[in-house]
Amino acid sequence: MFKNNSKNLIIGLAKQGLKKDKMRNFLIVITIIISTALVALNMLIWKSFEVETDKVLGTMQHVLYQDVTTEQAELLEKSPEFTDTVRYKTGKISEYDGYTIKPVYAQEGKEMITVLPYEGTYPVKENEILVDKSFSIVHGSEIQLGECVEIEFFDGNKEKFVISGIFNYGKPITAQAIYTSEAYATNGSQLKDVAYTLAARVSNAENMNKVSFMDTIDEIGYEVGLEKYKINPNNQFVSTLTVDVDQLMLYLGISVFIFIVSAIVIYSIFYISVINRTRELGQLRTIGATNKQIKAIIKKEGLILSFCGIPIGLIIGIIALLIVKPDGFEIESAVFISVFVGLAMLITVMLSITKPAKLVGRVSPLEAAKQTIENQSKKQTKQLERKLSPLNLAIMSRKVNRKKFIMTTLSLGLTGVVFMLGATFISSYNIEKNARQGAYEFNDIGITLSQNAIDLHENGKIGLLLEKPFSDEFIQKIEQIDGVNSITKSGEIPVSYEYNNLRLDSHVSSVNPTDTGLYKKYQKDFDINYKNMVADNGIIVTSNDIYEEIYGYRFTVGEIIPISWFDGENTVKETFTVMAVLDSDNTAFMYEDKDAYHTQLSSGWFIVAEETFENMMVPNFDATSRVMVSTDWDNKGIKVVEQIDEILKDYPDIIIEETLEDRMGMAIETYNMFKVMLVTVMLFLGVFSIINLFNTLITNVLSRKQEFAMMQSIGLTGKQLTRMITYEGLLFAVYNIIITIFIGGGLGYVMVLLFERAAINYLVWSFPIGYLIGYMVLVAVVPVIISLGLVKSLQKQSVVERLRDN
Amino acid sequence: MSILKVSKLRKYYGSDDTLVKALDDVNLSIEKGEFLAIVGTSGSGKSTLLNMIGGLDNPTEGSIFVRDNDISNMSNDELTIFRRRNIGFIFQNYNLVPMLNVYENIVLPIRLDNDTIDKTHIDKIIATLNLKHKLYAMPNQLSGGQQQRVAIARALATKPAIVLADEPTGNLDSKTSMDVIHLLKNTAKEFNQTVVMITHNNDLSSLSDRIVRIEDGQIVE
Repeated sequence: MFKNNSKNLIIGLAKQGLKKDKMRNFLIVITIIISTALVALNMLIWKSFEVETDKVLGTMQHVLYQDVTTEQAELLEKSPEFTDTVRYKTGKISEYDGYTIKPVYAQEGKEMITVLPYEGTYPVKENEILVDKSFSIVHGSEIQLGECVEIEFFDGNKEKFVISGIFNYGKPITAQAIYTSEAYATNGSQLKDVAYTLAARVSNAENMNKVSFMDTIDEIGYEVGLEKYKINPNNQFVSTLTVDVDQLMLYLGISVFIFIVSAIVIYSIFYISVINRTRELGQLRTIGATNKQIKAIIKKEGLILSFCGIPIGLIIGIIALLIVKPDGFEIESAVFISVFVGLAMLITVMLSITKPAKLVGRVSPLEAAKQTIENQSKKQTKQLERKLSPLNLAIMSRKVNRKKFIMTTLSLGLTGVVFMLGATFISSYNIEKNARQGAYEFNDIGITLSQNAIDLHENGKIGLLLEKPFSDEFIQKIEQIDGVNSITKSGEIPVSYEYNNLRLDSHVSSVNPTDTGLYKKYQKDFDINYKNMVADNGIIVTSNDIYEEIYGYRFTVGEIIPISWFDGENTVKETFTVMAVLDSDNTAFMYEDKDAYHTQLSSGWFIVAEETFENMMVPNFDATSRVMVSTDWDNKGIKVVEQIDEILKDYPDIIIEETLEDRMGMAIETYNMFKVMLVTVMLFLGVFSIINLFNTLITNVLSRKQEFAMMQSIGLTGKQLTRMITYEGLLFAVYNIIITIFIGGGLGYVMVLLFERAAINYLVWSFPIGYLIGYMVLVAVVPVIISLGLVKSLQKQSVVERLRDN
Repeated sequence: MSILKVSKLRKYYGSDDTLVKALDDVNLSIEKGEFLAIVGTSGSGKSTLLNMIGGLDNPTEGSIFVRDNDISNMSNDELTIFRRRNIGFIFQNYNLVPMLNVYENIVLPIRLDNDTIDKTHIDKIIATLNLKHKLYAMPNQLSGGQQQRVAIARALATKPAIVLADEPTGNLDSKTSMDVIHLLKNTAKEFNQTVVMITHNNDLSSLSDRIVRIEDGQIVE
């Protein structure tokens, strides 16, 4: 009974306490709202990627069984493990001026959406087809249902079809897929010899772990006699079966950071408010409130404020997500995250006020009623008289309120430091260096084989390379362009390899004795004997660390790898021995070395000796598949690009991969994205700073109302009062600026160094003087404005009234 | 010669139905060197009168002449300057500046006026009030009586025309109260200082040269 009464009383007293201190409540609720909204948005964005992927994956296959016979397809379709299957096959692409045509057969799925006609029906008869609305570019004029069209295929075959249905991709497409009937897939000239691929969705796959999912799809495949390499899981789906821990940690880290900053702000606001209410709380203690009850009052206040702020913050967070990423919203995850973030924020608030609550609890009733709990200086001064100017009085008051001052200065300083880190990143970000990262460090234009040409060639890339698209004549033409300084060739051949029961595709490139020496320079434990490499079919594995990240295991020296490839005439299979491994963490630095960067231009996991490479292919084979062009970019770059474009008109198999200009465009986009992100964070930090400063200055002035009135009564003029209070505010700015410049600036420099160490070389340290000046103006102007406002509101009350106020 | 002359002083708060006449037609004249006690029940208007005389509050009507200057129509800043040159305040709760030591508290009004310190005068006050050993101490190291002695010293430091004391011993025990008032009286005499003191205590008021009683905003004897 008694307990209940006291509980109600405490809630009542807490409510009263809240009514008294409206400004403090407002500032705390704002802080809670902002941080809750930020953390909720942050976590919702993290989840939104998954939600978006799930939405897309909801209509996609989990696995493809490639190259299956009709019998195998029928067996697979009967498997009880599948909820949906779709058989499909794709014919060869026929290329025409401005568009391509690809005959496709795809079954209609239940869950998996292949294509839906918005007009007409799915083709049934052998001569029926379903085409996109933009098929008119092939046809030459607007198409209509039932219309008869003639299509010429790559092999010169001309066939007539009737349009049975039209679908709408949404925008004109140049790669036209022509959906045929099952009858055409079985008998039609373009598809009858093509094997089926069976797409399937596995029941309850979302709840499996990665291993059991892979085992399930493999077993089903093996049962119908398929080899491992024909079983192709949907990697995007597989990646959703494991949580990306790094990403989760990043988002959690950001959330924790926001919580910490808001905890500091809430702590210092509560601390100051409690100090100023010691007398009132002491009175409660004198009339019999226990230590525990006083603490309970303060905690209840925190609880009530949390219940006001957290729901608003959560709603703002969700609305923000709906604006930024509407597709990433899902009610269940929004509820789950809201509960999680709300609880975390509540805990943060309660933790932040534990110390201030303890502090009042500890004060004896006598002490509390008499004095504030602040440790006012009880030391005698050393000097008889210090200079009593408004500035000096302001400095002295800082010493008296030491703890309050340190608390505010530190939390302001922290935001200043983070501000400087963000500002240093922005000002040090070198757009050109970012654009040049990697292969473009010393080159400006990349020329490569057209993927389309590779796809269209009967023998793929090797077939195309046999025709020597990068002929000496072509190279000469490029070299002769005015403004071209030099060109660097690179190339590799496609291979298949077997490793850990997987049959995977990659590329092999070559190395000479000088290059192996270069590797040694960048990776200390790299050791290889070139002669042995030639003699024993040795290979160097590149980017072993990345391989591990993707496949989960590393190549080790001594391992035997069976590799097969098309040598220009036949498919060959041989075994190779891993003789050395390289990690991209080390080799990434080679891009910045003018003598070594060429070793990084080829793709693929494997490198063999030059001699081995020559022997792998038919005689006189030239693997060149990419040419990097270095130019006098600043003066002639654009003109060189124009001329290369002109030359390429005669070389349809070669295209410009990228130019420095393209990359600059992307780098600027990235830069702007970073800038917006960081400036947003900096603005939020600024708001926290101002809330904190506002609170400190207001409570500082209001709690000393009487002291100021007394000084005015003995002759302090309004002007002197204004100056004194303004100086007190400015002192915060001075310390804040000192911390910001030295600690923030220093850490900014360290940050750039750390980035460099991680091979991220597009940061060129530059002191963010502009941002700093802006920051300095803000932190100096805000306290002055607050102080002036405070003096004005003080002066509204007469000296007598303020003297009487107790 | 009178150092302070108050005539037809009125201070009204509110209007019509809620009109409160805090002071109603008060006339008072005080001679230089006089030690005057104002007594009255709480709410009688004595503090209002003291605040008017000290230039902390403006009258509704009437005039206040201090050293022949009419202060009833001065602006806030003029009043502040006037106060620091002519009035010494002693408050019930001492009102010392917590961050300043004893000496700094005493000379603060002079420093605020950018004036130079009359060292002999200050030393003499410090000696009379027996504060010599406490000059470096902070206010919260002092007892109530000591703090009030510092407040008296501060009030006398600028050689004001009048020292105004609003229940200066309200927070002190009776023995200390007597000691402080004796000190105040003796010091005032020594420096030929005019003192106007509000008090509830008959023992204390009996030490004064003259007693003025206020009831309902009017002087009754």
